[in-house]
Amino acid sequence: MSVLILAIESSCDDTSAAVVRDGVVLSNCVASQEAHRLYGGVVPEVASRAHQVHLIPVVDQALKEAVIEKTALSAIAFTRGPGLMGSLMVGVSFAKAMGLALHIPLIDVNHMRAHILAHFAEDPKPEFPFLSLTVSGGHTQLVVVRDFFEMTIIGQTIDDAAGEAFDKTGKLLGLDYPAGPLIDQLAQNGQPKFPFPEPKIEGLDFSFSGLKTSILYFLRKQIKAQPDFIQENLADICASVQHRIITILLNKLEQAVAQTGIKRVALAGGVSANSALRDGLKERALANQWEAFVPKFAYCTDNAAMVGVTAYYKYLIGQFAAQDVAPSPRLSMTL
Amino acid sequence: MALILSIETSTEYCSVVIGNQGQQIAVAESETPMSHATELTLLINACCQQSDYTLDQLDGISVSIGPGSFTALRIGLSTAKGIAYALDKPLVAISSLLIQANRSRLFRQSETETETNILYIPMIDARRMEVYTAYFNNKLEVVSPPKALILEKNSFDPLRKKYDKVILCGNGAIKAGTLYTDPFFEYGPKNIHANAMIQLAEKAWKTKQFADLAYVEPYYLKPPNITKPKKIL
Ligand SMILES: Nc1ncnc2c1ncn2[C@@H]1O[C@H](COP(=O)(O)OP(=O)(O)OP(=O)(O)O)[C@@H](O)[C@H]1O
Ligand SMILES: [Mg+2]
Repeated sequence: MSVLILAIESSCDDTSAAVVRDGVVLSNCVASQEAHRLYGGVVPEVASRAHQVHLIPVVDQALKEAVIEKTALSAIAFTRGPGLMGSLMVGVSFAKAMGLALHIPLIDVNHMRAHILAHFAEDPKPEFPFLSLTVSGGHTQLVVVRDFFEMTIIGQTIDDAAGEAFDKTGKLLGLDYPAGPLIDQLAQNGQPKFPFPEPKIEGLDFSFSGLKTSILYFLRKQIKAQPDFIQENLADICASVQHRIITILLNKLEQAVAQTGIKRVALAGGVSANSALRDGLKERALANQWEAFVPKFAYCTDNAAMVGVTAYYKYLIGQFAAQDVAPSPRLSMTL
Repeated sequence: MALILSIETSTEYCSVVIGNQGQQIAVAESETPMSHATELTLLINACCQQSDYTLDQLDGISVSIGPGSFTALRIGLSTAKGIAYALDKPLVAISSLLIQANRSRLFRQSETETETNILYIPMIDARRMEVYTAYFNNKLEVVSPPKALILEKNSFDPLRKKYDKVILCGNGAIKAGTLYTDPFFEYGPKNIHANAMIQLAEKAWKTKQFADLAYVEPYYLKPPNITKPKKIL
């Protein structure tokens, strides 16, 4: 008999539901929240409220697209953390209630592990062990992945995340939130001609807050001399910032490969949708003979498919959650 | 005639009942404050076991829709939606203020018969001296719609002309205690409970006053608190 999992993701500002059969994604629906664009970032209370009205339509659509009856489900999976408390609460409470009503087990999923295990949604799947560069709105991590459940963080950001660096730069440039995809687009018509410094951080850790400050000072100085500096040079500024963020990421990845000897590398998280990062990884892979994996676009930013795929592997070893499970906004990678 | 599960989570303690034809047949409540996230579905399960009914035998679900604690309301409504969606059951949404007023009325049932000039003033605690409140007459009809009110010494003085007595109840009435001490004020139960939802749910179910399952939201009464982004450059 096949294992049919309904997965729910509501950790931040996207409401998503997916149906996964035996580890294969049958449907993956996402409702994004436009409201946050106006505020220049995710407003937790606004996000929580939106999840409450998006959730059933998204779940319903996922089941319909998969042509699966609720009664045929084997388990309900959900993101337990990390994420925003109010947002998580909506998805977790709903998932628990569905599990109770349908008499099927619950599977709690760690959002950051799910980003990595998104690579198992489709072929080719990476073999273990591999190195993951997980880059998202809230995290920047280098992770040694030895198995579905054995992951060790060997480097991470000491301040802002890579996605945050994109989004905060966008804010300075007057771009809507989230600015990552916009900067990616604008940069395609620009040249990285403005130099921003690479931070000197020991070991495999990252830092992006210094970059943010140097961009701010740079823009202030230029605007003083030329008030429409941003408008006139938008594409080049975007290309320059993006270039710097990406070289910071790839240089550390290269260092991690050297240190661990693991030459199988994978990108994960929202920023892995960035075209220059994807290209940059492929170039370095070619130059250094790495085996590189980049996720399909749909599995980069938050989605429930990655939650369902992760849950499938937990299902196989019988790792279920009890009905007293609660959201865990700061859930650590080891859980 | 209906078998209805009622869920109440508007304040720091949550409770669940199953009512059959307007009579309580199972009840469970939390003993730890703000434990809704871990306890609510366990309480629901306990009610099923007590009553020997399973969730798929229910005719409907009712939920306390607010006002109240935002997070607490979200847990209650998301849970109610999950059960109703999974089993294709109708959902009834009931005002937490009406539930509190009804609870107060149930407490003084015999007196209520003879009194006409009284007002129920349920209060759900907001922050500081603020409460969410609405006024209900003896028949539990709304006299004044829900609002957020900052309690002051003379807040209820205009009511003295028209009414013989007002009954302050709900967890917001705890902080009202020092302000309103003369005999015009009577105090009802300070806690809210799902057991005061049974008849209300039964009535709503009979008249098919169902909520739109997908799109119903907690009755927040207040917009989200948003600080406008400031200019940076
Ligand atoms: N093409 C792109 N180029 C650069 N950044 C991008 C691109 N697409 C998305 N992003 C960034 O990805 C981030 C969103 O990713 P994701 O949804 O994984 O993050 P999150 O869920 O908010 O955070 P976390 O996963 O750490 O909890 C945003 O910061 C966004 O700007
Ligand atoms: Mg994410």
